[in-house]
Amino acid sequence: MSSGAAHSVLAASAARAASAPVRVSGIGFVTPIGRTVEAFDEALFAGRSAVRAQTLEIKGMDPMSLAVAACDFDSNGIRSTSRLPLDRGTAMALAAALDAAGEAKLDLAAIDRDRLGIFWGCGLAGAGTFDNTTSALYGEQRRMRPTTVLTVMPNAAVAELALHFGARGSAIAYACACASSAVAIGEAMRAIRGGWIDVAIVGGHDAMLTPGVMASWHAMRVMAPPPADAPSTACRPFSGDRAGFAIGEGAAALVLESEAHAAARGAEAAPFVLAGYATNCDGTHITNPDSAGQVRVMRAALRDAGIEPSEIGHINAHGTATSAGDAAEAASIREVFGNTVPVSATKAIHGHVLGGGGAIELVAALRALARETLPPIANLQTPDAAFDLDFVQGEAREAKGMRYALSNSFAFGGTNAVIVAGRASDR
Amino acid sequence: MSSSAVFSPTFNTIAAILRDDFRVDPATVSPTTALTDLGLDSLALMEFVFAVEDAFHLRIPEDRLDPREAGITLQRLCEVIDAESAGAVAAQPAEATA
Repeated sequence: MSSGAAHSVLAASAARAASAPVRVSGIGFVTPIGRTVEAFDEALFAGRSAVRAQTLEIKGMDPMSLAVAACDFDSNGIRSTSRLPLDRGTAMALAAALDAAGEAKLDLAAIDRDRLGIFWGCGLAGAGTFDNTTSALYGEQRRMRPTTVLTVMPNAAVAELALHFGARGSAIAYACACASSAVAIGEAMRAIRGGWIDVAIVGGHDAMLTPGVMASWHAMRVMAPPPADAPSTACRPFSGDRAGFAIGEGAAALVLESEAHAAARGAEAAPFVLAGYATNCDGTHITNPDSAGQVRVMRAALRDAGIEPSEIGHINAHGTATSAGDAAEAASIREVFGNTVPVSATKAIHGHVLGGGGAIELVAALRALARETLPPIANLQTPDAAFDLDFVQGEAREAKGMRYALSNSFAFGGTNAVIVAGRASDR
Repeated sequence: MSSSAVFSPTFNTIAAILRDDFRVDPATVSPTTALTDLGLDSLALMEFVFAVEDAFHLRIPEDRLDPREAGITLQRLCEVIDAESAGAVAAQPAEATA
């Protein structure tokens, strides 16, 4: 073979690897709508919201009525591998990752852990722990926990997962607000496709339901006031009367793996693959989203997956239910897909989990693929008249034969990330 | 630690913290056990003392007891706790963490 021919073979091989689907070998999660697939599906497809009203009282301030979505999860008994206390979010991350690794039947003794990576997203990371420890410091206690730095640092969860699983390939935290975990998942796809690692535990979390952190969100005027008679309807994505989001907490984890590695370890067939990913940045404003940036990133993710817009059967929108956020996203989706691709938005039921949002919403998209059913947008009675899209309203909708779903994550700071998930059997 | 042995309430409280919060095998925990023999690293030892302070609603000044110092036993820790408790007005030992 001539060197030119060899080069073109290598180039073709590299191009195949660069666009190869990455399999999803396991999923785990801790969310306000449940920890099991059964509980998650039940709430997801019924559009049943876990959002509740909570009154936050801080001395010297007017009481704040907040819409929050909390997890039924006791983090107190969970300790680090060094037997140190964990931030609540890190405990959720560990629980989710253990479930995902269990479903993937990862045998840590058998895999090459130099090629196992942890890619994890968080937005405010240990802000809840920092809130609690500093309120003790400035309050009655006048002392600081010796482990505060280790529990608060943005890579606290990544570090704990790497220690727990003995991952030596990489351990990287991604912090880009609402897009953090989508970026973490996508960057792991790239690392696997690029041959840098074989398998990764990926996802994200945030646990922000402490007084100072909730008050911070409230001060930003982006949180929806919970209606007194129906607090679970606080978050109404794409509705004409939308009023912002509910703050949530939780974590979701996936085990991603190359097909070659899965075959080599004799893993069972996986139902899903991640087919495409793209990230970019608006580069325009700290909070106001730019539709042009969103259009570019969705098109780039479709190109990465090698599919046309018409092949997407379902979009799980970022759908924060803020005035500006939904308007920009509705326009972006309309431009890329027209008005024929059904759109869901699940923050209405599990709240805005910030760093965990992209991962939890990808899990929702995977469940839609698994059930060939599209989740309704909870609390959406009358869509904003300016939005010309096919919203899934009222009840779940059957979607037999759906091959691909797309999940959007658009962050404060302008970072956008889009993941295209597909059915493994259709590749 | 034999279940029939009679230990002070102070010791029982800190033994419960070691067992429940720090996953220390109760069989290795006795009044003569040195803090440095609990299998906890220096940071975990400091967190352990932090948890003890929370449980007894008191502060253990580091000049009275540095948990990282060699040879300090759980009995010595109990004595410091009892002395600090006696010195603090209305400081009642809390129940072991539930």
